[in-house]
Amino acid sequence: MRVLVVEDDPALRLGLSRMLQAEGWQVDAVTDGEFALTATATEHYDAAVLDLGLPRRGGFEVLRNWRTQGKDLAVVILTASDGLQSRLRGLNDGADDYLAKPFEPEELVARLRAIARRRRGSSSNLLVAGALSFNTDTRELRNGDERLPLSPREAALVELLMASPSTAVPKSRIISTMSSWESNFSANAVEIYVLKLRRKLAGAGVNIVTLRGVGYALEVR
Amino acid sequence: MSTTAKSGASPSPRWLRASLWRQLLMPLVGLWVASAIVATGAAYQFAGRTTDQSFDRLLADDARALAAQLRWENGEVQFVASRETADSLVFDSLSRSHYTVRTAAGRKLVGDLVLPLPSSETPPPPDTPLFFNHAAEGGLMLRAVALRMQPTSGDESAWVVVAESKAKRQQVTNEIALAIFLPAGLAGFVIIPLLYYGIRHGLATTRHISALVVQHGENDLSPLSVEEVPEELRELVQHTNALLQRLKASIDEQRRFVADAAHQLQTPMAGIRLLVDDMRRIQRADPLQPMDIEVLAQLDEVATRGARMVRQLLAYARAEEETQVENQVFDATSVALQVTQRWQGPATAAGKTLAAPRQTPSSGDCSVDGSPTLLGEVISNLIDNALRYGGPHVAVDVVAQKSSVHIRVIDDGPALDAPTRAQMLLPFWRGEHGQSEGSGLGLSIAQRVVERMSGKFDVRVGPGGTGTCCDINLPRSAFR
Repeated sequence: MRVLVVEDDPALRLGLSRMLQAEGWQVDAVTDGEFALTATATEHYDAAVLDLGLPRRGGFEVLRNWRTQGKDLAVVILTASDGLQSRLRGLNDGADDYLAKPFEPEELVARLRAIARRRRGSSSNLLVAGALSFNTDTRELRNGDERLPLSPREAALVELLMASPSTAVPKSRIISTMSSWESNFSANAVEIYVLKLRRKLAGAGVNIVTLRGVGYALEVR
Repeated sequence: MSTTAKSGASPSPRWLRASLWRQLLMPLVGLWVASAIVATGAAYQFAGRTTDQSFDRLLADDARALAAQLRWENGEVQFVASRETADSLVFDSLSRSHYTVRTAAGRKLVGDLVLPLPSSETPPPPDTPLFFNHAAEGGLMLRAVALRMQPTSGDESAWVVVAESKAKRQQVTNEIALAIFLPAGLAGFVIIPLLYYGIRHGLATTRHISALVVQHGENDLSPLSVEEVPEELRELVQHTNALLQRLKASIDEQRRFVADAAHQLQTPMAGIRLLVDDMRRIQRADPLQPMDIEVLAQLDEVATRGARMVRQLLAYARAEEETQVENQVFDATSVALQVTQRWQGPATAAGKTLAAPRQTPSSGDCSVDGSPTLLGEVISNLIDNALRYGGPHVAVDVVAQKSSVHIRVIDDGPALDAPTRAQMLLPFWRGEHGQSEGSGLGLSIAQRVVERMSGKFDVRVGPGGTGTCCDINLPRSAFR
C-alpha cells in the first residue's frame, strides 16, 4: 500500500512516515496542501493521512479537491480539532475516517488496514489463493502451515496480486504502489521482484502469469 | 533604570469589621439607656421643684393659720388661741412641724421651738411669706417660712415662723423619680429582646443571600436572584452579580486559552511519541544500529520548539499576576534601550539592522507604571517577531506625549492587511496557514501585558505604508 502523509509539523511527519514504513507500506510525506495536490496529480496513492491545519491549502480544501477530481484514495484525517462539527465536515467531505490528536499509533495503523480491507470488499485480513494465505496485518505469507519469508517489497507485490487472483494487475500500478520518492521503482525492478517471488512460490500451487503489455496476474493451478 | 515602588492599601477600620448585628443593636440600646437616664434626671429635677413649691405653699398656709390667731389691742399683739390649738394648726402626719410666734422685739407669744428670723436687712412687707432654710441642732435641715404681721403701721409687728424637715420633700421627690425610672427600666427588659429579635429577623435576609451563594456550585457563576432581596441589599447583590459576570468571562477566557494551549501541544507531542516508537523499534530489531541522526535532529527541534512554547505560555500566565505584584514607576526608554542592546547580536547574525531608541532631552519624561520586567519581555517579543518576519531594518523608538508614552517596534517588511493584523493578536495564530515557526503567543502576550498596565496595544501598517508598526501606548505615570 502506498500512503501519502500530509502534515506540517516536521516531527510528526517524520514519525508517521517511519511508523507506516515499518508496516511495509511505501510512504511519501509532504508539508502542505499545495504539495499534497501536486503529489496526487502525478502519483497513485492507496491512502492518505491528512492534517487539517495545513499551510497554503487547508486539509478540507485538499480533501474536496481530491474527491472532485475523482481520486479514490482512502483518507484518514488526523488533526487536533476534535470538535463534532469538524468531524462531521471531514466525513461529509469524503474522508474515510477521522482521528484526533493525541492518537495511539497502533489505532491509526489498524484504521488504515481496516479501510484497505473495506476497499478490497473484504472484512477479513486474510487474502487466500489456493493453499496460499497472506495476512495483511502481520504481512505473513503461508503455504499451508509453512511460513514463506518476504521482504517488505515482496509482501507489497504479493498483496497486490492476491487481492484479486486471476485478475491482471497493471505494471504501472505495481510500480506506483511499490515506489516512494526516496526509492523510485523501475519496470525492470518489478520484473526482478516478480522473478524472486516466482522462486519463493514454486511448489505453492500458484503461477504468476505475465500478461504482455498489461501486467501480471496470480493464477491458482 | 529608576524605579519607585508604590505603597499598598491601609487596613480597613475596626468598625467596618465589627458584627453587623452588634453595629445595629448597640446604638439602639445606647440610645435607650441614654434617654432613660436623661428622662429620670429631668424628672428628678422637675419633681423636686414642684414638690418644694407645693410644700412651701402648705407651709405658708400653716403660717397664715397661726397668724389668724393674732389680735391687736391698743397696738399690742396677742396670740389668742391655746397652745394645743396652735399645735393642731401645724399638724403634719409625715413629719412634725415646728413654729414660733413672736413680736419683732423678741417677745415669744407661742411656739414649740425657737426658730430664727430670716436674715433680711429690710423687713418684708406685712403678710408676705419669706422662705428660707435653716440647719437645726443635730444637723437637721429645715425649710421655714416667716410671715410678718402688722395690721397698721402703729401696731406692734409680729412674726410667725413655721418650719418643717426637708427629708419628707426629698422622700417625695425620690418616690416620683423612682415612679418614672422603674417603668422605663422594666420596659428595657422588653425592648432589648424585641430589638434583638427584630434585628435578627432583619438580618435573616443576609443569611438567605449567603445560602444562595453557598448553593452555587464552584462552577456555577450564574447571577444571584435580586427578586427576594430587600432594597437596601439589592445594590450589593447587583454588584456581586456584575463581579460574577466578570469572573465568568475571565474563567471562560482562561479555559479557552488552556484548551488552545493543549491543542497546540498535541501535534508536537504526537510527533515525539512516534519518533521514540521508531527509535525503540529500530533498537529492538538491531541493538547495534547507530542512532538515526534524522530522528534525533527532529526530536531536538521539537523539544526546542516545545520549550519556547512553554516559556511563552508561562509569560502569558504571569502577565496578570506580575502586573499586580510588580507595580512600579519606571522609565520606559531605559527598558527599551536595555532590551534593544540584547538583540543587537541576533539582529547582526540575521543580517538585519536594529535601531535603538534615542534618549535626548527632547524625548521628555517617559515614566510609566507597571512591571518593567514584563514590559521588557513584550518589547523583546516584538523585536524577535520583527527580526523573524519583518524587513531588513527594524527600529525601536520611545516617544512621550502629553498623557501617554508610545513604545514602537517598526520594521520595513511587507505591509499586512487589516484582517491579518487583527488575527495576529489571537492566541496561537501562526500565520495564515500556520507556517510560522513561533508559538503564536508573542503578540497575545504583548496585548495582555499592556492592557494589564492600563495601556493599549495596536498593530498598524508602518510609516510610508510599508512594514509593520507594533505600538505600545502606556499612560504616563502620575507619580513622576
